[in-house]
Amino acid sequence: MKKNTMLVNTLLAVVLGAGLMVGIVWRTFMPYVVLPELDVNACVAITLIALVLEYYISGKQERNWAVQTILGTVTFGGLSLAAGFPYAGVKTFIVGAVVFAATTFLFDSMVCRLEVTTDKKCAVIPSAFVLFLACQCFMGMF
Amino acid sequence: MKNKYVTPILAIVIVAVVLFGGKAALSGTAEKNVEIARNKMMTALLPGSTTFAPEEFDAATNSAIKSVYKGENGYVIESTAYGYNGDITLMVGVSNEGQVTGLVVENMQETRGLGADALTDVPFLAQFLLTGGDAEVGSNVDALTGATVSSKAVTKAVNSAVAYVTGADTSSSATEWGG
Repeated sequence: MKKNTMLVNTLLAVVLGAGLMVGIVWRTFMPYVVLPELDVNACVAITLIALVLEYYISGKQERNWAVQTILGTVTFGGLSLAAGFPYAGVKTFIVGAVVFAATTFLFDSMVCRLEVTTDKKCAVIPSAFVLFLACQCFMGMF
Repeated sequence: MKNKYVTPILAIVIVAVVLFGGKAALSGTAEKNVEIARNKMMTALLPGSTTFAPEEFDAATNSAIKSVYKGENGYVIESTAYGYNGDITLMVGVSNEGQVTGLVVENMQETRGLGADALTDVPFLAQFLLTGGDAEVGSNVDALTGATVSSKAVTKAVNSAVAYVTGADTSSSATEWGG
């Protein structure tokens, strides 16, 4: 396991920022298109993209859970506020914090198991996808 | 040694500044496009009218109404009702005689594959055309499959828009959840 470089938080900011920028441009030129909310599913998808990118760039890393969760919270809440999304607010901060911490923990647990296989490089993407599907099923219970 | 916290914090700040700047730079264009799209939509919702003027209304007594535009032969009303997963907002064209001439779902966050079908399900939305505030799920409106709450919310929003024009009282039929 490599030393913690906080890379996932940098990647999370970039991935979420890119998504929000697409949303801003979309709302500017197609104002009446209904865009998906930055809900649990969207937050999970964005977190998973950042985690997969981190894995391919620098492998599995140690975590500083407290600091990284705080940064994840600030990323989701702060960036959606900066983008001026109408549903941004306290909810986005809370959802962002819970989703980032839970998804990172679950993804890291899966990656630990993958470490023992030989084709782990290819297995990371389907693992993340299955985790996303599991989240959708979980949300469907409510 | 470089502090490992600097890079992610810097990334968050830079991305936030870029987003804020991008939004500010595009806000003028966005407002212009909203105006153009709204006029185009209102012309389609209320055939026969070409100019629309915003009209003042009493928000206290018309809690379901968000905005009102008066055309030559009727009104286009932005009305809202609580669905399954938040407010559903509609633009409803209502003639001076109190008949629905057109409607479109403006915003919603209903369940994908169920209530969200109200966005695009033409047969469902077409049921409200020419109704006069008497639309009722189970009577003259068939609900979307698996989305009764969303269907009732759309019905409530449409009836509220008609009631604004006719002056009818819809408070007795209103419930907390989806009409």
